Amino acid sequence: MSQTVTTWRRSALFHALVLAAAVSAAAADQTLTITSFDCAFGCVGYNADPALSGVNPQTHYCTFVDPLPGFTTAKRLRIVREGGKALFYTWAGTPTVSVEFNGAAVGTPQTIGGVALCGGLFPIEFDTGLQTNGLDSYIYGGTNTIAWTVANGDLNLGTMSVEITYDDTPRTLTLQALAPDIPTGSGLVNDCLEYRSKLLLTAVRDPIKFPGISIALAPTRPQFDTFDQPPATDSTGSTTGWMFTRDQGTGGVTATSKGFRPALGSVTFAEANFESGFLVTAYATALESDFSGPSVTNPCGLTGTFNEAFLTSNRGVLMEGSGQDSAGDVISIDYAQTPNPSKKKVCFKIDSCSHTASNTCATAGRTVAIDPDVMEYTTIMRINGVSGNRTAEDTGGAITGYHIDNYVGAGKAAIKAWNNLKGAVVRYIDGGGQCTN
Amino acid sequence: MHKLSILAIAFAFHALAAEPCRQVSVKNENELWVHDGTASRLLIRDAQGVNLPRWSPDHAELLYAHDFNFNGDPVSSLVIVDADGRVRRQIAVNYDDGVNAFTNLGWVSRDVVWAEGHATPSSGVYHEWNVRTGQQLTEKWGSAFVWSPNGKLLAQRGHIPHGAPNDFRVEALINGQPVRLQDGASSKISALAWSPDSSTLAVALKHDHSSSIELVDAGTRKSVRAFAIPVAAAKSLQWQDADTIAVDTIADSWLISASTGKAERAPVHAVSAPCSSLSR
Repeated sequence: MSQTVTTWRRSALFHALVLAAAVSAAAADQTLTITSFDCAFGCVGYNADPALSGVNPQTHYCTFVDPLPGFTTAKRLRIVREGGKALFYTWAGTPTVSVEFNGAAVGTPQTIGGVALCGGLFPIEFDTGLQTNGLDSYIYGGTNTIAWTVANGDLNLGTMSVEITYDDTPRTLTLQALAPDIPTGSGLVNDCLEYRSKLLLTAVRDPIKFPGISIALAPTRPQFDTFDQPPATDSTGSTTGWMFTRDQGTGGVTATSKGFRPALGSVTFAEANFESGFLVTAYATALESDFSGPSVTNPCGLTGTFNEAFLTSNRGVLMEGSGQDSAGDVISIDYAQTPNPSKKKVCFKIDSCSHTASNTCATAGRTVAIDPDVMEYTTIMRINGVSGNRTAEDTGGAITGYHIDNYVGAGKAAIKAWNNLKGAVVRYIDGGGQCTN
Repeated sequence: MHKLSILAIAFAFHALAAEPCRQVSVKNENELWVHDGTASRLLIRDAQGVNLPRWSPDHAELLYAHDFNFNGDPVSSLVIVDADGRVRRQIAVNYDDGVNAFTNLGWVSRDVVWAEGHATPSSGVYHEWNVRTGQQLTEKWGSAFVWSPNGKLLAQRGHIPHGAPNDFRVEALINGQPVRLQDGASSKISALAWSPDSSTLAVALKHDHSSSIELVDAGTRKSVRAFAIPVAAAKSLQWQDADTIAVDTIADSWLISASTGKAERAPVHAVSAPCSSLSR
């Protein structure tokens, strides 16, 4: 009898599968029996006999392509093969036989003591047992390999059948895209904000969890959106990926994994919270009526009498940049006359309003100063703890990073109504920093 | 291995190792904790808030600031507590001191503390107080105030009235005197930092589309070196040793060699909160 050790995995020539489906007795579980495999069949002798073949043990491989309906889950294999101890040769050792399924041992090795010639073989059975979470080693949509290893004797092996118990509910991936935020440190690129969305992925069909599953994410807007691909699923069948973009609008994402029904999702990138909290302070313009003390008449650039502290104190025009005098006029520094103003030498002028860095008029209830490396001018935002939206219109060298200065108006009363905020949640609403294509 | 790479690795360990002073931390915005090795203890719980704690040079006392409350006057206070958490002095900060928030605190000497306060988006107000008498000693205008480690030189960004035109030329000052930079007109001072031996002031400048660092000799107040750095906007600087300057941006951190100007991306956020004993 020839000794054939076949390794016809993935052979394209012998894929003749005969499927015999049988309805399982267990609720939600089905069975399917395979009787044809990609290997040598009939009564074949395997002589793990040092005296005869010199090869001990010997392994024989049979393969089959996954026959299960799409996305279902294999839970048990009952592998039955006819066999028996051979007595054709001088060395009559008692063989043991073991089975591996895709490299994983099935059951325990069996010692075959019964002599059986071809025509009188008896069934030898190996059983994975029912694995509630599915067989870890099963290859869905691909070729599965059953390896029979004979050791220390001569064994005849005949035909084989494999009964697969499977859960017939399709395996699917789930994808949940969380509301995007604006990640800390992302800044602006080409004046565009960056968005980030956390993607929660599962390969779970209760109670079956699928650990170690690799899931690939692909965008529907590949020119705008990128991903941090998720690691393999953990023991709960879960994993996390990330989606990034600097383009507003709706970005779609597809999650795929071999043997699983794909999941689709989408994220709308428009309003979003900044991930980082902000320090929010306040600034005001000077109000002459707040000040007392000495006056100065006809200061440089002005006609009339003005409170000196209103003009040059640490709450006055020289610090705040502008102020409102008792007559209601806006006074600001005249840089044409005094390009380097100081207490020693500063000239003033009547102005139309208190100007911001973006050349708007500072307006209480609207204007805030920001760091242009964090967000653009014209950004409309909502600051948790501050009533009403604010617009980024102003800036200054003392505003760095995640710090917003809220313009509260003129004078002491305006400041008195304010409370600084630490770690405030700021939500981007509209305006600057948005990029659409 | 490139010298700067070795420095980067050494820096990473330095960042993880304990600073050469006792660590303090603030929890729940009103608890001041002291950490000695593996032991931690609550020093004081202050309902008015604990901000910017700083050790005195001899580690005998801690300085911190209350939250601002504009409903009354004073609007805030500076508090000095001893190592047992007893309040030794409380210094009132009034509305007329011109600040709306504190951005930095420190000790000029064992008896004098300083505070930089935020006034406008462009500038702030710096004060010093004698902690024994509570007397306010000085007021300066500007921002980015930083004392040299030897306690003799105060660097700052000069005062900018808010709303100044974009071409307003702001100066860096040492003890109130302007420094002479090599840079032309179109730049802004974004950060300052003293070398460990107090001999050199590093000045980070933001240009239209790039950044640079100039090294200023403390004695002559003149720039002796200038080099470009590969960041769009430096937010803070800190000398890690005699030759390495850490630069933080919004997004990342870099280590710059002061002697060669070579830059290397830092493995962790490079600029750390000051140990109070270094801010004298």
